[in-house]
Amino acid sequence: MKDQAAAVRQLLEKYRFTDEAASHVREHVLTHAGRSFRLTLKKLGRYNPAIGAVVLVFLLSKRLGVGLSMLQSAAVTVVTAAVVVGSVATGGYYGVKAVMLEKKIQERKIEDVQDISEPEALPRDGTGGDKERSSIRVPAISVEPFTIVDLDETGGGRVLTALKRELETVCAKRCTVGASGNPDMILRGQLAGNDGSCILFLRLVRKDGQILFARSFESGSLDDLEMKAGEIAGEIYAKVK
Amino acid sequence: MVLLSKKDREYSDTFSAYYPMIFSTVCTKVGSLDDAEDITQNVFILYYQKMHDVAEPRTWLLGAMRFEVMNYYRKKGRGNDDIESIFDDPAHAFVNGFRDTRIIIEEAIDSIDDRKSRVIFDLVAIRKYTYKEASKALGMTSRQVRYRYQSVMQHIIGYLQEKGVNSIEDLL
Repeated sequence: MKDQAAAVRQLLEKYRFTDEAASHVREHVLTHAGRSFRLTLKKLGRYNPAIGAVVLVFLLSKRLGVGLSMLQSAAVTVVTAAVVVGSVATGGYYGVKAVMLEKKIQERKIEDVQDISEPEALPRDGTGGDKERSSIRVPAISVEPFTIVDLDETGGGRVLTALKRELETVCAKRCTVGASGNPDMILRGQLAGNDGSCILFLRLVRKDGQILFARSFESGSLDDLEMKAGEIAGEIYAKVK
Repeated sequence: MVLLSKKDREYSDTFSAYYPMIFSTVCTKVGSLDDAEDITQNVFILYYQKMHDVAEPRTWLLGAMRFEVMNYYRKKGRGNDDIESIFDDPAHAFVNGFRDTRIIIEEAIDSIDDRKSRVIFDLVAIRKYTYKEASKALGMTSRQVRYRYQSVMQHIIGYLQEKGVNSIEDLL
């Protein structure tokens, strides 16, 4: 059979059926067929991105020796596109879901910190970490000047300063003390003299109006009251933390 | 399939089957790769426009190719006789018994019914593509090309035997 096939080839040569293509022509055919195909489609106005994708699969399959038809290439393109779109959509869905969940967790953390009626949400040991602390707003207590009744203004001011200082020390990292544009709590007080003794009425009010702390402290003198400032600050802090 | 019309699919199949043969033939006629590329593209664009009326793509494409090549030479200012000589039929070089033999061989080749097998025969036996080159051009494996080519050869030998040619060597 081999000899006969070789004889047929000789026969074709002899009777001038052969018309050998030069090697550079054959090379050109192999490298430019795809481009030429696309160009004819463009000239015919039949080329668009969808057809381009199908043609790409079609030419790729040819190069790999699979030789898919255009119909099969179109089917492969559609399935591939569906898989890609599905993957991107699923990935996007879970990505957005994860981001939203993270955001919710962050919001909940902030709410927990702001909601001082649930103090257990705040870290107890003050070691929440710098990163965590920096992302959470610290509640602010505004201390208003005391109303002084039947007492020396200067002495009353001393008591107020002492109480502020002690509060700042006690509260430390849990909240800020002092005047604030938008405080979360306000500490109001009235210092009144009463037959040689003095009484301090204190009230800590949340910005929504809820009273967190209300108590009076009686002392023999303003100096004694100033000495008690640390104790008073501790009681206030117990309601805040 | 919404993406592709039936016409597009048929066109792409015809293009991938016949582009190597048409381009190679045009190249031997015009000698320039770029001009051959333009002419080949024109042939296929014409084919797309006339597809509905085409019964046998191979014959039609070869006719259109001849027409386009002649147009190419006319634009270059070549005379008609000169242009005709480019398409001289090699059969004219043979007389008497040789011409008859050539006709029988031609019939044997034309009796290849399968379109893909005929394309493989054109590329491997006529244009001298290697199996590997033909396989790349047609999107088949080398083994498939070799198998089909051998089947075609067997078919031609069988045809010649039917016509009373018991030994091919006698014709050489």
